[in-house]
Parts: sequence; structure tokens; C-alpha cells
Amino acid sequence: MLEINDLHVTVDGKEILKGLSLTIGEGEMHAVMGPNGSGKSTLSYVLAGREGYEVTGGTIRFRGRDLFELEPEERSHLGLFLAFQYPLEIPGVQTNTFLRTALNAHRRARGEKELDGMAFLKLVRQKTKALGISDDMLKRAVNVGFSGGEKKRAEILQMALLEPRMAILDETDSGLDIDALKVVAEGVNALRAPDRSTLVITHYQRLLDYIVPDRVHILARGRIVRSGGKELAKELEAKGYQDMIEQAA
Amino acid sequence: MTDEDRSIKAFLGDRGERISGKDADALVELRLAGVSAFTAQGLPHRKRERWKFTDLRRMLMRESYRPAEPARLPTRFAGRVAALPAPRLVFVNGTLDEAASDLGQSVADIVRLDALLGGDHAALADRLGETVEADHPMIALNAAWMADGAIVRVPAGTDGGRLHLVSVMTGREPVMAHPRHMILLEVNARLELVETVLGDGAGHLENAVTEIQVSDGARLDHYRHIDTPESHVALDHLRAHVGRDAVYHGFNLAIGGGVDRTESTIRLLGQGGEVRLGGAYLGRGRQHHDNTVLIRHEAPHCLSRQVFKGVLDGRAHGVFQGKIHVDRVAQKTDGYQLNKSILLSPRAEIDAKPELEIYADDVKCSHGATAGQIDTDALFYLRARGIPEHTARGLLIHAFLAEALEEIAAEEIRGQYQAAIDAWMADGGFDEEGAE
Repeated sequence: MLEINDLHVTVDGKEILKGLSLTIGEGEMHAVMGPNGSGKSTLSYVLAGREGYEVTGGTIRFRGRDLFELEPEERSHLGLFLAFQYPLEIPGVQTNTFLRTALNAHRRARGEKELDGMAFLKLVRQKTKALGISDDMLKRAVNVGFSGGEKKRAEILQMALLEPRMAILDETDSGLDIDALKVVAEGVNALRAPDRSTLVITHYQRLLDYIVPDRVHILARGRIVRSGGKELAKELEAKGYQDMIEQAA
Repeated sequence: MTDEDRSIKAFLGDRGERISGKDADALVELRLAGVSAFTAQGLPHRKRERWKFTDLRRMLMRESYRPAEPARLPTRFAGRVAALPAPRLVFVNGTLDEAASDLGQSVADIVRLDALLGGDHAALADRLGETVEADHPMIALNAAWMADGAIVRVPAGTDGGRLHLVSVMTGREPVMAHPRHMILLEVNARLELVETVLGDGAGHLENAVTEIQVSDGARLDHYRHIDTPESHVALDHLRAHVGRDAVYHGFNLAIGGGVDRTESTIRLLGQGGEVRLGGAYLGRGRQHHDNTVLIRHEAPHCLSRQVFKGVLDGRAHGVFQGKIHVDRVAQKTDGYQLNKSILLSPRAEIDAKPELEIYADDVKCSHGATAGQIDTDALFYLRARGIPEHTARGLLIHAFLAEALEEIAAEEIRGQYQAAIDAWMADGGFDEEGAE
């Protein structure tokens, strides 16, 4: 599904990713864990195609395509989804309008008919119920005045609507209390499917109690320094990043 | 010959000698005063503070305009004119086209400017010129030439409904017209005035003056859409007096036009008066949109609000000069002013000059002006959800302008203006490089 090979990325002239390699197969759930400044956010933004990240080496293939040849919207159409650590507030754009425009852009890219207002509403209502998202929230401007938990739930709603093949969750646990975390984790787990892969990027092990990965990778100083099964997260919690990274080095 | 003299000769010619009329003709006096006031100054230029960003001498001397002849409404505009179901007055090259106009069941008392000479309208004739300043060069030029215009009186306590005032400049040679309108709402009267400014053919100049009196307890909703070709110059000088507990709401949508300048000077003369002015300006190519606003609070407990937003692409130039003046007597004034622009191209430009001049000590006034690019983070967020870049930009611009459009009270007008904005965006207004 996703193959990252020897990726080097520079931001403002400073090399952040220094030869990162990672392969995620179809239906697998992987976690990348790392301390602050290890390059976690850079990885997620490079995957989604944000400007300002200069790729100086390496390749990323996603579903057999060279990711760097694709615009952000094309990556999205191909099934890549980034749940943002800090979802953007967009005053003046109603959440409903935003969701429908996004969904219809995907449908158009697939050569399907666009959904009208009624059909869309029916679909969105099915998805919102489980996530505890109110109709009122859909009428508000995108993420404006949303609590931290509401923003993250809105991200999961977008994911549920767009049904990606590869979901990247960037620090989805940040700023959430334990109840909100459970709701979000349930949302993510409900979307697990044999043809859907997931990459969870996180600093803390806590999220992995609720979203259980097949593989765990430790990211430090711009590269994966250790990989293992889900027990690696527990080990990390016991020992701390410092020890693990020194051991790996 | 100096530039000043040249501009006087070009725009006035021998107009002064040609003005004649009966002694009782109130218009003659105003016209002659106009000739002498314009002769004293010539066209305003950038060394004069109010025209610093809109150098009319430079802009108007590029073309040589002849006085316009009356013409019929070009058929291509017939549908556009009829699109709004309302009694309408259609001025073509500054003169009323009676065949294209249709006053239907309007309850307002509507006559043409020259009808003011008749005995029945002597009282109205006295009001002409009441709201304008004597030394304004373009208003003086308008006075010197003024020949036609709509004089609309809504009787006390009457709802005049909606009136559509259409202005079209047409013809193959560049011409100039100087319509003078007067809108008079008597006590507790109401009117919704919708103006559409159109044009075709060569680059024409329309130099209009609109005098407005909103008497005590009356309310005027005034919408204006400038949609002329890029070679045209549309100037409007709006002067309004707003009485006690009276309301004036104005909205100015500038999409077309080569050069347009809407100067609004509004005086709040009675306690409890309210003025809300909104505007949206969209420019590309070398278009120039100017909104120059002066709100004078001259009575206590009045409210004024200005919300102007613009989107400028290519080498378009926007100007916003907004001033709130609060007299010493105007305690408890509530004044608000906002101007925001998005520049889509590095060569687009906005000059924003917000001003507060406050002589009272118990007032609430605020203002703000910003100019910036489209929010690239928001753009990325939308694109990351699969929304194509062009659509994403459209959504963000739509959202940006929404705050201004919300100022429009009439839903039908808001819908039409939104559609005009959407058409502008669909036309491809998002050229980041500023290429034309």
C-alpha cells in the first residue's frame, strides 16, 4: 500500500528526515512513535503534500504510484487521508458544504454521479450518529468554535465519509481527555477494514491502548531506529525514549 | 497651458456661455455655480488628499469625451434590465429612455430633473443641491452639465416599495454624462432603491450625483451594482442626510468597470439615526475600484457601520478611504468600520485609509483594515480533503466575502449579487502570477 524508501526531507534548509524507510501493507495498522522534534509531523505533511517541505532524496510509492507526482487533492482521490493534529478553522465555510464538496470531488474523480443535498444529508446522518456529532455542528463553520474533541471527531467523520485506503492519524490523541479519546478510537476502529491501512503517529503510548497496531516503529533523529510488534509500545512506556534510542544506536 | 487649464477646457469647453434659461429657472443658478467652481479647480488629481489614490486628472485625460446624446437602451441589456421585477427608470447616456422605463404601480412621486421647473415641483427644486458641497470639483462638473435625472419623492408614511434605477452608457465614441438624481423620503416613508450601472461600446464616463434625504423615521435601502466594461469610468457622488430615527442602508458591488469611484458622504443629523454601508469589490486586469466614505455623526445616539471587502487579482487596484467624524454633540455614538482585502496576485494593490475623527467624549468607535493573501493553510486543508485547488480558492473567497454580503437585507438582491460574484470567480479570477 505505502512504501517509503530512504526519505530525506529538508525544512527551511534543515534536514528533518534523514533516510526514513517504512512499508505498510494492505489492511495493516502501523504506529510511528517518537519524541518531540523527531520528524513525526514532517512525515505526515510530506505524505499529504503540504508546501514548504523539500524532498532531497528517496521515494514514496502509494498504491503503486509515485506520490511526489501527485497534487494534494490527487493523493486524496487516490485514497490518502491525513487526520490533522491541528485541524484548520475556516470561518464562513459551513461544515456541511465543506463535507459535500469534498465527497463530491471524490465521486467525480471516480467517475460517479455527485450526491445532491438530500442524498448527502442521509449519508452524513448515518455517519454522525456513531461519532456523537450533532446537526448543529454540521451547520457551523468548519472547526470554528469547536472544542478539541469536536475537532478530532470532525476529522474522523471526514475519514468515514471519504473512506480512504490509507489513513494517517497525526497526534490524534493530543488535547483529548480520556472520554473523547475513547470516542475517537472507537471511530477509528470502526473503520478498520481488510483493504484499509492505517498509520498512527503519536508521542504517547496511551492511544495504542485503544487503537492496537500490528507494527510499531520508533522514529528518532529523522529515521526509524527500531521496529517491532505492539509490545514495543509497552517497552517504550517502561523505558522511555532516551533509553530506547540509545539502545538502538 | 497648464494641466489644470487643459482639463478645464476638455471637460467644460464653452459650457459656461451656453447655459441660458428663464430667470425663474433654479437650475440655471446651480449650473452657473458649477461652471465657476469647476473652472476654479479643474479635474482633481493625486496632489489633493482625497484623490491621492484615484488621480482623476490622469485617468480622465487619457480619453476625450464628448457630451453624450440621448440614445435607446441597447437590446442586449433588455433582459438584464427586466430581470428585477420592479418599477424602473432607465437612463441611457444620462437621459431617460421612456420606452425602456416602466413605472407600473409605483406610489412614489417620480419626475425628471427638468420637470422641476414647473410650478408643481417648485418645492422640490428648492431642495436640489441641499446635500452637496459647493467646492467639490466633480460635483461642480456635474452641476455644470446636469440635464436629466430621477427626482423621486416618497410621501410621508408611504412605502414606496422597490424602484430599479438603471444607468447605461453606450455608443461607439467616448461620451460623458452627468446625471443628477434626488431621492427624497418624507417622514416615516420607505423605499428600496436598486441601481444597476451598465455600459457597452467605447470607454465612457458617467459622473453621477445622487442626493438623498431620509427624513425622520424614514428608511432607505440602497443597492448599487457596477457592471460596466473595463474601459468605462463610473463615478458616483452620493450625498445623504439622515434624520431622527431614520435609517439608511447602502451596499455597493463593484465587479466591472475600468475605473469606478463611489464617494459616499452621509450626515446623521437627528438623534437615533442609523447608517449601514457595505461593499464588495472584485478586480482583475487593471481595474480600479474606489470606495470613499465619510460618515458625519452630528447628533447623539446614532449608529454607523461600514463593512467593505475586496478581492483583487492581476494588477487591479482597490482604494478604501473611510472616515467616521463625530461632532462634539454626538455623544453615545456607535461607530464601526471594517475593510479587508485579499490580494490574489503580487501585482494587485490596495490602499486602505481608515480614519476616526472624534470630538465627543462618550462614544464607542472602532475600525480595522487588513490586506493579505488567501490563507494557504486553509487552502491546503481543503485540498488534502480532495477539493481541487480552484474550487478550494472559490470556497475561501466566497467565505471571505460572506461577511460583507450579509449586510444586504433584501434576500433577492443578496442572491443576485452572490450569483454575480460566483460568475466572476468561475471566470477564472485566481491568477496567482498576475498575468493578464
